[in-house]
Amino acid sequence: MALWPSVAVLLLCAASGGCLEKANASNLIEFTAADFYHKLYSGKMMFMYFEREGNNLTKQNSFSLGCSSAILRDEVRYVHTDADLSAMEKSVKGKKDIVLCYVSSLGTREHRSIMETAFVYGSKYQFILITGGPVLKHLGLVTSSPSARVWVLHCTDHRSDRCPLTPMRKPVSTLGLHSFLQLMDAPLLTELHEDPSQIPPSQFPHQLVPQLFLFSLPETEALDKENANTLAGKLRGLAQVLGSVAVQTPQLYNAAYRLPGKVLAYFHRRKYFISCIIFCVHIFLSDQFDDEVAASVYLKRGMDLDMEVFTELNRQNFHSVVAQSSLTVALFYLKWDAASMAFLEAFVEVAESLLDGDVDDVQMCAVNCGEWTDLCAAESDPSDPPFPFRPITAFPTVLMLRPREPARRYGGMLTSQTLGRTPAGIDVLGSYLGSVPPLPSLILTHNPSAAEIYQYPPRLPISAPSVLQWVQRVEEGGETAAGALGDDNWPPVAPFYDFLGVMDHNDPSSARQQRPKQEKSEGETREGGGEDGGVNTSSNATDIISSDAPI
Amino acid sequence: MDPSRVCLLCVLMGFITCSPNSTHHHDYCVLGAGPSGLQMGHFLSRTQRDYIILERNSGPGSFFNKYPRHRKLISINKIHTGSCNREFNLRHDWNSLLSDKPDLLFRRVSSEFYPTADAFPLYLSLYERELGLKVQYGVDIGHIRALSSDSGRQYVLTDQQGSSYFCSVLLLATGLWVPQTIAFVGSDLVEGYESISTDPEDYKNQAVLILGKGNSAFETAQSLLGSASRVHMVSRSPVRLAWQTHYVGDLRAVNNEVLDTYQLKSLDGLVETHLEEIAITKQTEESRLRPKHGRNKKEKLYLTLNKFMQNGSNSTNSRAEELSGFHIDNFSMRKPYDRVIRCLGFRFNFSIFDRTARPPNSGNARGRLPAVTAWYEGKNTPGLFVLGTAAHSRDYRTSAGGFVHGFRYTVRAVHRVLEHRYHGLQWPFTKLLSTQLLPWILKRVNEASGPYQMFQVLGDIVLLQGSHCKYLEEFPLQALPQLSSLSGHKVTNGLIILVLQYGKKKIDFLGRSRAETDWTRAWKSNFLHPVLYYYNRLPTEEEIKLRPHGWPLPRPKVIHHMIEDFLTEWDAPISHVQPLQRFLEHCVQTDLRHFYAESCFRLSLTHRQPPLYCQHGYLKGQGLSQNGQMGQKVYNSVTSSPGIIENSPQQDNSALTNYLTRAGIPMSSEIKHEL
Repeated sequence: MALWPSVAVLLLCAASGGCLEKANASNLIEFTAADFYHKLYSGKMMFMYFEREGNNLTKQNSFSLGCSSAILRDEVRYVHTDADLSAMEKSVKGKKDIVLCYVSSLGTREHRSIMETAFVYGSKYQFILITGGPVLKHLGLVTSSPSARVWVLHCTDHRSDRCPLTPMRKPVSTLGLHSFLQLMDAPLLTELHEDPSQIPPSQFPHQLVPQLFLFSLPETEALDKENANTLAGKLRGLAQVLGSVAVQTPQLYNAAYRLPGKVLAYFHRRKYFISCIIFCVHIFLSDQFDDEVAASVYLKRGMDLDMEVFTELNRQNFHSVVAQSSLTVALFYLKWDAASMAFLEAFVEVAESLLDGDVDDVQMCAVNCGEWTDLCAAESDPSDPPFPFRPITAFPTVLMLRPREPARRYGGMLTSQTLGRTPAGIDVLGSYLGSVPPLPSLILTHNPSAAEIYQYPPRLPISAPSVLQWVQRVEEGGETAAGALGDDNWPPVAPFYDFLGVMDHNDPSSARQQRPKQEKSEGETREGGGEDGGVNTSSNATDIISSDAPI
Repeated sequence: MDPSRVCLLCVLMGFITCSPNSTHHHDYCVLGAGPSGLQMGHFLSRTQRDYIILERNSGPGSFFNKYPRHRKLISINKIHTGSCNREFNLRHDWNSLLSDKPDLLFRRVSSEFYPTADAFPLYLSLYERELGLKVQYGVDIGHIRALSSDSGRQYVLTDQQGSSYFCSVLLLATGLWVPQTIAFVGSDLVEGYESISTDPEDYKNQAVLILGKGNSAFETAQSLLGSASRVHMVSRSPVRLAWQTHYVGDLRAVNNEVLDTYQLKSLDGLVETHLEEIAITKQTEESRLRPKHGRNKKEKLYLTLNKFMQNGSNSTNSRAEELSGFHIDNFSMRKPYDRVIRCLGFRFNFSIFDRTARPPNSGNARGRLPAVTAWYEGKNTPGLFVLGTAAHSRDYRTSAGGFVHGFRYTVRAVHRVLEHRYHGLQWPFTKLLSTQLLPWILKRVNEASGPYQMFQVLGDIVLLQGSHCKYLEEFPLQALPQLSSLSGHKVTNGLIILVLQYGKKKIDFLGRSRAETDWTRAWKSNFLHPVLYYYNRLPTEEEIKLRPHGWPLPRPKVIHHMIEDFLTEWDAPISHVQPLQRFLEHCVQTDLRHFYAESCFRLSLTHRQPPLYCQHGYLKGQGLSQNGQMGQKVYNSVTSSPGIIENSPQQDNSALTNYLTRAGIPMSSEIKHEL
């Protein structure tokens, strides 16, 4: 666990430069590394600078803005073209990294966050602030984006022509910038000599950074380390990579990851692909997607599914197609529904296997309900027999259709995993008890009346009488709970975008209810503008017919 | 309705004898067999109601036998859309009426994009015949009155023979056909759109002044471009272009050739003035030089202003000082005209109503239309509803309620109101799991034609009820305060309303940056886009009345704009789907995300209850497997093994079961029976 002290020290270094030192240096230097770590851990660090300076918000703001403008003049540079940037890179090469910030307009909250960060980190990094210009093209921004963007250009120990850059993917905020720059500064690869289960989750300010543990075997350590370094380079700014010669972890796992707020999950050698997807989905799409199914569907968006494997089924041919085969399996889906698309992929594979296997008494159909809306609504032509099913209102739906029989809804489970032995099982145990106990382990949970979790004493042999006794002790309240279930309340996880707030901010009158009219309530109300909705600009003033436009 | 009671009533009141030849009783009388009357006829017929459609002419849609005068419809008939979705295709079919018959569409009578007007009555006949609608032709209703008694209100319609029709509900589908006129000095010298010659030869080398700048005025002007010496158009307001206002009743590009000849200075032109203030005077110019050749008298019409006219003078042979050119030397219309043509549109025929049955004039559209409630019932005339073009006062100059492609939906909405009020049937709805609301809303957003055509007027309503919700389609937005009484549905846990709307900013619609693409700027979308309003209770009438300027609904608790889309396909995962999901989650205060079975498993074990999606799927035996890695190997091994069909109680299923199982989709032994 060598990472944390170094983070604390780093932050101290950073904070001892710039404006702050002049303003209030003595207070800051009093911290020991331990104190500092404590403050960091408690999450109070970012407010500390300001609390010392003044106790109300206005003062804080004026202080930080005053400071910011000083920096703006002296420390923060501006570039317009790519050539400007290249020159800037040359000038700092071998000395400093560059933090390049783009804001669409000055005076925004994002701009203030950037200036505050520049104020703290100004001596460590060369800050550049841009609001547009051709240089955006070099950074991969096609048009000017309304939200701020930040990149770090790694110029300190890079010898090539241009400094490699890492984009910050999270939305720009003071805390986010702080976390991002810290991560940029942390060693690419941290070496561990403990088991991942012993390592605590990322702490402030990295609490939102996923951890990736790569296990190494003593005999391949050098090669593993090289691979880990490469991977860490690719994941820079996205995840913490920790290499470990794992002691306790069984060899059937080759890696593990911990997503923010989640327990440790292992990459099972056999299920490596799934683990990779989950991790990659999180790493690359967590900024974009809240929904794991939507994210994985999105990740595979380039892959075309072979829809030729299905028999076409629509309103016109329904009865004749169903009559052709003793069993027709029809998937009803919507292409904008992530669950439909995730399932469709599996369904295509089943259809392919049936084709390959020459199974001809089953025909597979997929009905796009965005296209065949009448079939999905079970609306048949009045002159035709009715469709043998009710309107489809849940997606995906699989119907089993036989000639002249009502449809049957396929209600099967869509997974075959025996989950007790999968990483999920370990995951669950870890969530219950805080760490993975030696196995086998007996847990009592989902007691109807309570959320408590009880663990059967690990050292006691598992025998019927002693288990019964244990259960009785639990019921009588004689056992101490080992943990508790999460509650059953599932509020939304992601913030929604408050359009009303944005409208009020940008155009305050546009979303406001009208005031009740005092007078002339009758004549003035005109819905849709009325005949005189158009403005007659000319004739009112002169009372003569306006001529056409002057030439 | 009980006929004996009505008979008794008429005997008592002594109006007419109860002979079967002259008295008729119906629950529903539809007046007019035009598009809206037939549309209502279809809905009444489908629900097997006692109805009759009364029509004074001998066939349906007789208006279209005469109008538009130059015989080209400007309602588009787009046959090829690249989609098989019937509902979606109605977004681009402006002439068809709604029915359950998928092929009863306008395209059967015409393949022209702008069809000829003759095709429309043809289509209506087809529609009437194939649906077997009850229409009585040759019945010219000249008088309508209301009778109120303890047993309710009735409308009595009297025709040209003196026959009476007693109707519990009267549905006026008479359209607009009385030419709109404006009174000014010399208005008698003006010809009307309804009677002008449509032969361009008759206008050869003539100077023509057209009053009006709507589509009929421009259609007329366009037909004269090749023959008239100059065409001037005058009206109170500057011309409004449909492609700028998004209102299909404004000047359509198909009729706007005069704009070209005006802007390229080819002797045509547009002028603005209040028509009430003009005067038309006639000057007869005697030809003194060559009285023997041709006509010796030439009549010229001058446009002047009423204020220059001297007391006691009439419109014939006014004095020189009464002409505008005498006062203003560069007066734009100082030269005389050979003809003045009035093209001012049509008004509702109020003349057939008794005081007891007459709906008031609308506050807008110069009072040309009857004023109706948000559910199209005449104000002060309960049981009398206005359908079709005449009901356009609700959305005059904003939406499509005055046109076939709009009122076919409002007619359906009125029918749903009737079904609830008189037959106790709830507004039709779909019950959905809350986790299925997202795909369902996207389905409507991507295909629904009603809210698309009747944008800002009809909207879908989602009544939230915890883990379920009810989805109601195409409710008249302004009637929202009366939702319960009109639809029979109650609001318990809040509601979401889906509306399609245009941006209200006037921009350069062909200029740069006319469209937004960043979803966070969706509220600035200029083109038609979906907007969702969330209320925790029904808005009141007062709130509706005081809604923000240009809004279809009052300020909600939360609003969500879906970014406008060039293709009108709102299905992009990042820009459309996820922001909508977050909005819905916020409205129901519940995590609505999808989870794979493995996650559901984990969350079920670590929480007292897993998220809603897992409750609806995984806990009921239907989970979603993360199946990405299924390799060919699995299938090869399955397909090469002959022994996979084993003894099984469900013999014919077992092969499939095996495949599904090995593909990671095991069959549950119990198949839930549908129906």
